[in-house]
Amino acid sequence: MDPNVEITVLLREAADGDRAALDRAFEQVYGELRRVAGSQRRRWEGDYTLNTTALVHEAYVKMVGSNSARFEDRSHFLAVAARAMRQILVNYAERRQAARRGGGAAHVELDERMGEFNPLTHEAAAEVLALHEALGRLAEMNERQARVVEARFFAGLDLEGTAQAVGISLATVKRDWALASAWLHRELSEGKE
Amino acid sequence: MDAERWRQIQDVFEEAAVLPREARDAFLSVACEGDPELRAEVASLLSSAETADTFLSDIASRAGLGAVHGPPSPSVEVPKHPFGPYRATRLLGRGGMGAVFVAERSDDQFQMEVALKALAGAPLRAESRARFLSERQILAGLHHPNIAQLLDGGVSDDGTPFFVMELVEGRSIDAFCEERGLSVEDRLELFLQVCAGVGHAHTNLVVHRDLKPSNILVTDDGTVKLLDFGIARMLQSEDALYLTATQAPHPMTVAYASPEQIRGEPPTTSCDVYGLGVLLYRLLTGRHPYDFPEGSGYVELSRVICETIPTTPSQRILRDPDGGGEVRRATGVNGGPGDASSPPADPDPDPDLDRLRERGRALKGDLDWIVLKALEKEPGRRYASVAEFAEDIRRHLSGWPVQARPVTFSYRTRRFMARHRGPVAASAVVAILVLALGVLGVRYVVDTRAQSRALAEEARATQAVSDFLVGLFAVADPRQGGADTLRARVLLERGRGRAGEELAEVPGIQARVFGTLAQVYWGLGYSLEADSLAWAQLDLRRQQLGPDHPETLDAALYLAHLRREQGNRESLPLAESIYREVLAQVDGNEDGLQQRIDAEEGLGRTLILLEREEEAVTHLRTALEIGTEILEPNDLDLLGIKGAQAALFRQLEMPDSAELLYRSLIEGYEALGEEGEREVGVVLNNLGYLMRVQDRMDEAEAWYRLSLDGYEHTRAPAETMLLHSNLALVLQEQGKVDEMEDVLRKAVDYAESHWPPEHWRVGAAHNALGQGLLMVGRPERAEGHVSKALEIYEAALGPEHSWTARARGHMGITYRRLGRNEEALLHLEQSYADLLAQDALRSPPSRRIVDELSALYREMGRPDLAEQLVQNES
Repeated sequence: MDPNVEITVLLREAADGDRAALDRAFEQVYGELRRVAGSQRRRWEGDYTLNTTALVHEAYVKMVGSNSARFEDRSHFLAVAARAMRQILVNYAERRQAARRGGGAAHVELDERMGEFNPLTHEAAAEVLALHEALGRLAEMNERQARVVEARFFAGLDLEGTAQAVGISLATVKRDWALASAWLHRELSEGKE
Repeated sequence: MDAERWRQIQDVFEEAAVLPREARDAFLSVACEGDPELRAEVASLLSSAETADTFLSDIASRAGLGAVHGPPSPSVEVPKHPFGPYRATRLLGRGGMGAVFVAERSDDQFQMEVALKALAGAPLRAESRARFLSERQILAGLHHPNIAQLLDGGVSDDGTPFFVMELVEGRSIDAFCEERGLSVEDRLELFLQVCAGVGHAHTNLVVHRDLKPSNILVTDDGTVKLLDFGIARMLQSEDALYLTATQAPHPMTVAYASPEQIRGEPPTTSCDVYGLGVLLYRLLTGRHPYDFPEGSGYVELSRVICETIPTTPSQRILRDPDGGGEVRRATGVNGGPGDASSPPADPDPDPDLDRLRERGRALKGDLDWIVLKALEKEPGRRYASVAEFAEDIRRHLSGWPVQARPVTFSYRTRRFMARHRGPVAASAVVAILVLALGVLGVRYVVDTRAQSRALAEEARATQAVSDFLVGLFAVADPRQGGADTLRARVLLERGRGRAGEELAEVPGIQARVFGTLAQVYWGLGYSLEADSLAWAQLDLRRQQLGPDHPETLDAALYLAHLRREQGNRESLPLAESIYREVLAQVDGNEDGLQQRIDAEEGLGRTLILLEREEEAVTHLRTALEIGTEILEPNDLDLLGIKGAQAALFRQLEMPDSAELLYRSLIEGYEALGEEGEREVGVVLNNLGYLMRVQDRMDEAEAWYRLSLDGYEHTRAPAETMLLHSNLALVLQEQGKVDEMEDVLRKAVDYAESHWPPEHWRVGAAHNALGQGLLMVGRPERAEGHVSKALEIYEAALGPEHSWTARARGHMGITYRRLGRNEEALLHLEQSYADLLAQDALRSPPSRRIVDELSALYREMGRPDLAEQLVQNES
């Protein structure tokens, strides 16, 4: 099947609750985001950030096309992309931590496209992992709030984009973000002090 | 902390957060009475909320996230490298497209200061470079006293495109008018100079397309100079995307764009007429023709530009006297004027009301009409050329009657609608018109004799086709082929071959068979075959009946529908062009009204998919207008068009219009009885969704429940299951936990009564109920359903399927919540191993399982095992 059709079909099925489709959509978006990240890095050599919104946008245009997709597809895509960005960051963070532990480094296969490049300092890696774990705990209490944070923090979406991605109203996003960010702030600061 | 407790904290937190700080303590005392822990928790969250945003965005920036505007733009220094024979000497300003410098020729051939504009962005590719240089030749050929002369241009050694222009020192035209307190007549004289420059360019086939005050300077002696002529055009190509991919479109540019530019149509001289209209409006009133709501995004700006009618300049001045004070008074130099940071000139004293009133009276009549004619939405209704526009102004100045006159009743109607739109956004006008037309509906009279002849013909052809298909199936060997679809596929292949050979003599029947086969292929999901057969059908019809025969048009429409349904970026533009061809064929043809409706609707739906909503509005409206005239008020086609329009309104964030339309649809479908019953359910569900996206959960719940009631009588089990889960979602959002559980239980019952007990859908229903219960902190109740789901998946999908593995993981999570850690460990480890074996660990639902297992290991005092999980993953 045409890869563009496939991703839109997968996204649609995922939105209808098909978990297997969601998994496959995730794998594809994840792969594409890493590819785009690699090429972005080449383009802006020496001044690299993950530049999330641009990354996600570019991956979206590549996979779905800028014009052809239905409105709904874009929001499903954003949700999946936020999850994928989280995973990418966590991978970097774990790799950084593994490198620090020394022995672990041998087991870590470096992704060719990323080379040895790692955007995270040790400090940032620790923070990302702490946030990732805290989000896991938040998800147990309220999964939707965790998804809101995911979309805003990892995919760099604004409030409206987040509302689309999570499929809730703007008002709900604002409320969820207020509480979730306060909670995360407290959780993460407690660990530090 | 469990979900129930968290919910409680959330409720108190949200109420407290909206109170003024000093009122919070008192509120907490009441709200948390008898629960000091709750109070402490909320108080601590409230205090960390104050700095939470900064805290998180700091982490994000340390992690390299969140830099959302592309690479940081280089600080503007005067570049040392040469630009061809030029060398920059000092910075003049920065604009959206790059930086502007004063420069001089480095070969000292002759001493002359020039303005040099270096474009920011990525370097040009080789082929674009060639085109860029040839365009430069054309522009350099524009010689006119009101156009800043383009002297040179090229690509510097590092690949940056640059332009060299006559150095103009002056002020932007709007600032010039305000500072000198120019009279209306003087303003018009200046404006005529602008027209002269633009008109000259037009006769040389160059369009400016970005006319705005900051691009128009006036020198001290009162000479107008247009800047940046044609630069936008030179950059328009595939490279334009490349150059601007990381830059948001310049907001000013959108504000000055014509409706057709917003719709993405190729720019014409008429865009410049429109741009001049905006400029004249500004010069006369000091205001932009449209009020853009604060913080408008691109879509909002576009909607205002494409759909609202500006207030007449005279009204604007009288109603809005402060307007003139807002004009920018930037000192202009070419390139950087709009955003130059030069100090503002002395502000006007408070606007003299009498003078303003006088100016308002001066504008009333001719000038109002002149400006609004230039600002017409339809290019065809504007002045045909800049010369005509200028001519009308000259007529006005010398007291002759002007060409622009208040013509139409419809114009006033539109104005009335625009002013009295109430809570509904402007393009709800469309909906109101539609409803009105529905009442007035003129019936289309059919020639009955011709109709009965056509019917007889129709019957004969249908018979032939069905004979052919029956024959096809009769010779089929029932033992051939395997699965149903496979067998059908074999039959179809055979039919295709036979139709090609045996029916070649009777092209009419052959075309019809091709069409039928295409439908069957499509139904089975073979879109390529369907597409090629539909194409073959169209081809035959064209040869046999000519391009404008209704049967040919139907065949074309069918092909377009197929391509629209494929919904990808290759097929949609193809669909669009076929629809447009059909429209061109039926234009002015009274017999082709049904085809015209279909094509307009199809085109509208295609444009929605292409995210060109503003254009879609026009076509759906036409479809509705004609449909309302010639179809029964409750014709399924007509209702379908309304459904598309309602969805469009939702997408354009015009919920009130969408709701209005949906409600009228329900009545329509209900009047159809059984035939419409299923559709009513769909509309109700869509209403529920419409409410949900607006956070109107109570109403969403009500609509979903109504829809569900209707659905339970129809045979649409998959849709019914979907509705259950929609409803459950809304209930969960409302915190109605018991009701959510109730609905999910009903879904299980429903699944069990519609599918055999071992069917995966029954498993999925149990799974949803189990997960829902887990999510709201009721593991005791979840246990049975999670285990049932696991059992069914294991039998129906096999033990190593990823769904099974995940259901096992959920089982583990459930046990952990119940404090049965041994069983939890067993299930989580097994689930983890299965997921690992299938390389399915990275997907989001798997993450929860991994996280849970890792937490459990740590709790057991085995962080080493938790670490191992992390390493396995990468």
